[in-house]
Amino acid sequence: MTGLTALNPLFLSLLPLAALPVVFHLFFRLKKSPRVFSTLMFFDRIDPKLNARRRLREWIILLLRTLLILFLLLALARPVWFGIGREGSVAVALVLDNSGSMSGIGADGRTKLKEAVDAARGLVAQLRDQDSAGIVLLVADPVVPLPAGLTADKSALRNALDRISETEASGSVAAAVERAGALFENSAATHFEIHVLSDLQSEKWGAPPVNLRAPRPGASLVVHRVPSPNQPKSNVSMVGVRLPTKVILSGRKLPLEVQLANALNRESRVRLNWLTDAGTRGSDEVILPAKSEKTAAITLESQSPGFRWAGLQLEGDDFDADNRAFIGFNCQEKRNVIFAGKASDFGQLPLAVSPAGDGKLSGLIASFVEAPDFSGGFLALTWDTFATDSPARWARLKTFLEAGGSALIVPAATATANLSPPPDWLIAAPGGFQTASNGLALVALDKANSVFSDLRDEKGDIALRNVKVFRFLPLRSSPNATPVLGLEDGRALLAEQKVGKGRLFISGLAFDSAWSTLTLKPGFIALAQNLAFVQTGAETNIVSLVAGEPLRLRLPAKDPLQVQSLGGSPLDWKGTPAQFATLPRSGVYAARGEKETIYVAVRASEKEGRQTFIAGDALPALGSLAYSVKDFSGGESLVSEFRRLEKSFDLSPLLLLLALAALAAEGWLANPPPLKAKLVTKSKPDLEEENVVTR
Amino acid sequence: MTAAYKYLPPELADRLRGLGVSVRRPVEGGLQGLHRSPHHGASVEFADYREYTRGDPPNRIDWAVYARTDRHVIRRYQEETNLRAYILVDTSESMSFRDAGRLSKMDYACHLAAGLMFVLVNQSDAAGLTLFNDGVQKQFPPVGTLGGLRPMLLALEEIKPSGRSRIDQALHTLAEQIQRRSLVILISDLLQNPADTIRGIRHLQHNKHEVLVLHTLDAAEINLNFSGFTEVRELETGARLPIQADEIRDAYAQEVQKFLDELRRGCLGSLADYQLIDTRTPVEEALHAKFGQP
Repeated sequence: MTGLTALNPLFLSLLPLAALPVVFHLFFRLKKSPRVFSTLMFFDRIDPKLNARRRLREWIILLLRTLLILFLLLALARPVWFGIGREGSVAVALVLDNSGSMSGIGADGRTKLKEAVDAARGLVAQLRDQDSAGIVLLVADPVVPLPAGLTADKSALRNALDRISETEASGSVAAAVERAGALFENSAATHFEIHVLSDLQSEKWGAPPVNLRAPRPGASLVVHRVPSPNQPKSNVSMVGVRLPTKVILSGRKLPLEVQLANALNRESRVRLNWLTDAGTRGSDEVILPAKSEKTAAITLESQSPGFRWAGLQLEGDDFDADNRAFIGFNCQEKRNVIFAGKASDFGQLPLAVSPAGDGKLSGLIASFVEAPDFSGGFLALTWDTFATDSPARWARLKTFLEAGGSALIVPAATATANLSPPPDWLIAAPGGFQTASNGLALVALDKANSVFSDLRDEKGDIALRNVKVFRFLPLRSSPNATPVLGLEDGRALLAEQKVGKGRLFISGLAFDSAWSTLTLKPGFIALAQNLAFVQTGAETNIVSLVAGEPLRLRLPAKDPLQVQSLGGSPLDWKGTPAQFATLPRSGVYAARGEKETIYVAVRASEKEGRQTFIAGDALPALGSLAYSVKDFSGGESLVSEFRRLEKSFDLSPLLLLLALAALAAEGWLANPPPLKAKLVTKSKPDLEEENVVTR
Repeated sequence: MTAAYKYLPPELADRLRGLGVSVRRPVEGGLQGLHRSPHHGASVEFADYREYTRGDPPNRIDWAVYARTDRHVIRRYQEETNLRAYILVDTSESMSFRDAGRLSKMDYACHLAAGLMFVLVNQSDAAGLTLFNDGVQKQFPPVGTLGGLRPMLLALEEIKPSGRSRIDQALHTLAEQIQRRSLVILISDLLQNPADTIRGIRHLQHNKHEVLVLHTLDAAEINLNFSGFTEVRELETGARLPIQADEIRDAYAQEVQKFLDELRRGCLGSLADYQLIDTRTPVEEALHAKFGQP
């Protein structure tokens, strides 16, 4: 903050309004036509300089009016001269940027955050008895015991500062400044200061805020720019980790796709290490060209059933805060596939789903029931299932799906007649029977659908070629249904409908060789098993977050909550959901409420690795707030600025006085006393006197 | 005379029939008339006696005086002649001003001029017309018949006020032109330096002419009837002046009063008859007030 600072700079932007009197004057002068009069000789006789004086006074009045507005606007802008004037108790809010970018190396070889924390310690040491201070972190960190509000307890402040460490998260500048401003709300101090220590990374400081609430009037805001002299020579960040889209079975290989990005202008060679909760480790070398992204495929070893997690870490680059990611997933031992009806109704589908019947090969256990109980597993139904007790069964199916179940409805392989009409909520339904003696080509209509996940080749084509259809019931589907398989003319034969959390596949084609050659193709097995393994929204007790993102738990705000780390950054936090803000470091965490446990997998924010910093004094993230930017050069610079701001002189009362003076002068000049003639012979001409002819 | 004359409608002419214009000083007319002439001649009004000289007709000797004084004197009688009036009408642009009055000053002056010409001709005098602004624009010699007034009345209708007024110049010009003692009637707003105007009047008086000044002003010129900040534009020059009317109202009225007093005193000192006429006054009322029976 320089010597003179406006606390309400918004009013400074209104300063051009001071020209309004001149504009109005010129505008109305142009609009107003002069009054025609016979002669000016009497006006000239009153005062030959009347015109000149009038014009001079007119411009003086305009000047005074302009000054009046100018002084008022300046007074409203609350200009304060720091470094002189009154000295009193100081309330200072220290905003420390503990985001991932601050883990970069600073000027003295330590991390930038360490430099900032040391400077903050120096400032705390300088506080006098009447002063108070508070600490605000850009990224809320549950492991730092921040004092509540402002405090004069230096030991509590030091204790908090000692616990501050680098995170892997991005934070919100506006939110931190608002929290800092809120510290002053009930303070009786005479001076209020917010000192922000940050490296001004563009990702956080370059975006304008939304509805940023200004600190209390009179509070000064100083941003100390911690320099970033040491740019990393190589920096690969982990942008994301993609899990398979189908049910994960224990004892199976788990392919993962790890998305990596190299933002620098040079090739980077890093090692991707991973570790599972079972202790399985792996490693792979990845080479990324300059300014490129790459997906690395890795395969995890078999897992036991239940919640499992894995951690991934990049090794070998110069910036560590964007190198870690954790994933969590549920493993199932086997999955039941319940066929409602006889095996012959489903053609070759039971065999494809579970060749051995006990799930040894596919992980799927096929069972056949007369009537489904809609209790779990993957349901395979025929349209004949709904021939009896139709409304009740449709209703139970809908309830089952909405709760997160998955099902497939197919025509019975022996069906010959048209099917009974489905309920209204089913947005795809088979029409009448059709046959094609020469066969019609069956093609994939939704190549991105998860049922084709193991059937794509390198180019993304589906490995179901030369499939001919001889009998079928084309689906009449609404636009909300997703056609999966169909004829070349676009008619769908297999469509997907999302019902609540569940997924329903509706088929107009029986999976029988009498209907098509699909069951004769090798890819049919994968297709059938993918249908049975399809993942629904039921497994929602796992949340994936980027470090620093708010964790929104659907738990009562006052219920007890315990957050413990299962892997990654250690954490054991107890409180309520309302108190818990965010997880600033990568890891796997279990958030345990009274009734449910939610697992949170956190990866580091890839934004923190971007090495662009704001060099100038304009900080878009602070919007229209009044602030100043100081180059941080150690604890002394922070303390000296703190000392300087202890004294301030408010110029607004003086400006208000000047505005009043301008108003008074304007009033005096604009309403002058009547002029008198130089030589008065009679007070007023009398038209009624004897020598005048008048009415 | 028809009702077609704009400035002499029949109703005005009817109301002016009883008026008469008289002069205080002798005038030199061409015909026998109502007004005193500087010469002696045949009339019933005795003037004086003078010694009989050879050549005088003996029948004019006053024998009664001879009987008392033993001197041969003859009786002389005042010659009575008609009046030659020159009416000067100011046609400068300031005369087009109208604000509070029912007519513009120009229209009002034209009505006055037409009415006076009618009154003069009606009492067997002769009336002429001179139109001027910064110099003499048009002149019509005096005529003694109503028919002779026609071109003058038509000329009045054609007037378009323009130019700046130089009243003194017109008066000097006329003073040099008129040979016989006459009545000069000046109808103007006299908006120029009063001293110049008075000099012109004195020139006429010096040449033994009778001068009557009819000073026509709009009431708004005498007392400002507007308020607030206003930019005023002068008719004759186009000059502009921003004024605060409320601020200068009293000072303006005082300046006008000074101007009128100066004119009035100047006319008095020059033996000229001065009359200030407010254009709100009906023309016949103004003429009756000046020329009607007391």
